[in-house]
Amino acid sequence: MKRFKHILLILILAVTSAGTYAQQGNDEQLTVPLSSPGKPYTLKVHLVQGSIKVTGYEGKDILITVSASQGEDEENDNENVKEKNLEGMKRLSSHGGYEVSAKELDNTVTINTSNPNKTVNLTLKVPQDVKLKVGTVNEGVLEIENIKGEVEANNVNDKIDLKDISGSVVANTVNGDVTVTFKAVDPSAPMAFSTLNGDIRVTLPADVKANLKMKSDNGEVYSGFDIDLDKTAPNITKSNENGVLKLTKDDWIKGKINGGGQELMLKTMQGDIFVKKGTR
Amino acid sequence: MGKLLLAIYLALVSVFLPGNAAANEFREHISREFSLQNNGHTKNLLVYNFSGFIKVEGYAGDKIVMEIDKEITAGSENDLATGKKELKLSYDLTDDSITAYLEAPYDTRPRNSYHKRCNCDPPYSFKLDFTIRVPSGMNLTLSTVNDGVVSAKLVWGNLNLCNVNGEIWAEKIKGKTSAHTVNGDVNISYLSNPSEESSFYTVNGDITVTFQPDLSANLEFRSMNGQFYTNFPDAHLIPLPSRKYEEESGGSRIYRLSRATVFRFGKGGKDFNFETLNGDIFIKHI
Repeated sequence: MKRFKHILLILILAVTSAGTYAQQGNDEQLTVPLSSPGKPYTLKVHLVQGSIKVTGYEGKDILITVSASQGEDEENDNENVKEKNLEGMKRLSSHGGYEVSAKELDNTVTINTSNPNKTVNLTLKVPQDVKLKVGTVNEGVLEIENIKGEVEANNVNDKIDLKDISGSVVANTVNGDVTVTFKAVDPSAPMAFSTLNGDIRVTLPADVKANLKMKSDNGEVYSGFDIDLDKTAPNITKSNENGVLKLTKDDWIKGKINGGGQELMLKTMQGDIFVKKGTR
Repeated sequence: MGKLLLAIYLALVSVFLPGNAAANEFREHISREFSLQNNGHTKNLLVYNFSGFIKVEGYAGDKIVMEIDKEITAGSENDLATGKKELKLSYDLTDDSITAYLEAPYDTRPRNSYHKRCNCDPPYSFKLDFTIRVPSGMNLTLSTVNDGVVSAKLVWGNLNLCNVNGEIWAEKIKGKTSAHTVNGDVNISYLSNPSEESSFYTVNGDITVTFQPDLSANLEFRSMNGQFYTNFPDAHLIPLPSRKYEEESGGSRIYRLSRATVFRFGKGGKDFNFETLNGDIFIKHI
């Protein structure tokens, strides 16, 4: 029994030390102080490959955690290389290397990577009051949480997930869902949420005043709010192309909630739209 | 219509034939020999060319033998004459070094390389091809910009090889190496592996380096659009901590975090750096 305990202890030690080793090997943190801490600031983060997660916190600095892609390198031994005489040489996987830089000038911070072909995942902790502009293209989701301010999120081949936002949002992707949950909405800012292939789910405070403008080409539109629908006849535009008259019907669903306010545009092609009422 | 084309063709031929480039071309062969100073204390040969190749080969002798083919071409007799008068190849001899460089129309020595005498390009074009034999033990610094390869063979000393629009090629060498070009491949093959840190760089081209099988070094690879290949059996990625650094640029502060891709070959030790933007990197053993 005693021997068994020893073995167990050794096993535990081995597992934990392996864990910390992996941690050191893969994740690194960069701290970026603002030139005027506590004041409003702008943060721009742009990647080509990889995901970005931004979470608002109480601190003053921007903390960036970088993790290189853990997945195997995509095995694209392309034509180009096959033409070269490899003479039995094997490819060395290049994942693990990266360079991330953050540039700070007058409370504007721009974060990017030196090699757009490499997948890098960024996890940021940022002071909450921010004008945030975040974008990626491939192999990555955008997650933003607990932010007060103006958020602009752009993705292409994955989803956008925004939670506990106070302020305004413009979120746009192509292949993926757009999900946004507001704590509070800036009544003076128009907002837009769009995707091509995916659902749009927006949860708004119960007392929000807005003019909704919604369209799903091949899906349905659902609402938890009572919408005062715009019953005026739909706009029909006539155009004349080579002597043939073309009639185009504007098929947006328009309506007001809580008496109306700024415009909220929600648009998808293949997917449904959900406008939900928040708990408060 | 056919007649008109024929007439135009004849007119063009008649314009260009008499003014054939051969008429405004000047060629000269220069042979120079240098004995090593102070009983062979000369350790370094430096050649700063602008246009044309530099090919250096080591041999068992004790003299530096330069064969230079000079060529000047111009659009007119006048410009050719200017070229013949202006183009100047000079030599600088010190205790331990021999330097061959152009003094005019551009001073090609490093400290002067970016200060052209005038903003104008000369009204002629020129080319100097260097074929050089050196005692094998020498250190070499060779650089050119256009129209030619930079190459070294059978040289045991340190090699500093620079090109811009052309390849770098070295065979049967031994020393610490710095090979740097912009548009061209880097091809190097060692007779024995360099014992000091070395670097290999190109922007548009492949890097192929052939080492002896006993290679023991840490190889750092960087490529934007390429891959790394090797036929060494024991290359493995070292989990390095990332480096952090800060810098100031145009009033803004830049914070960087980077981790290199470093592979240990053999037992590691010295650092060799390989970098290309558009190209692959090949590490071979003989």
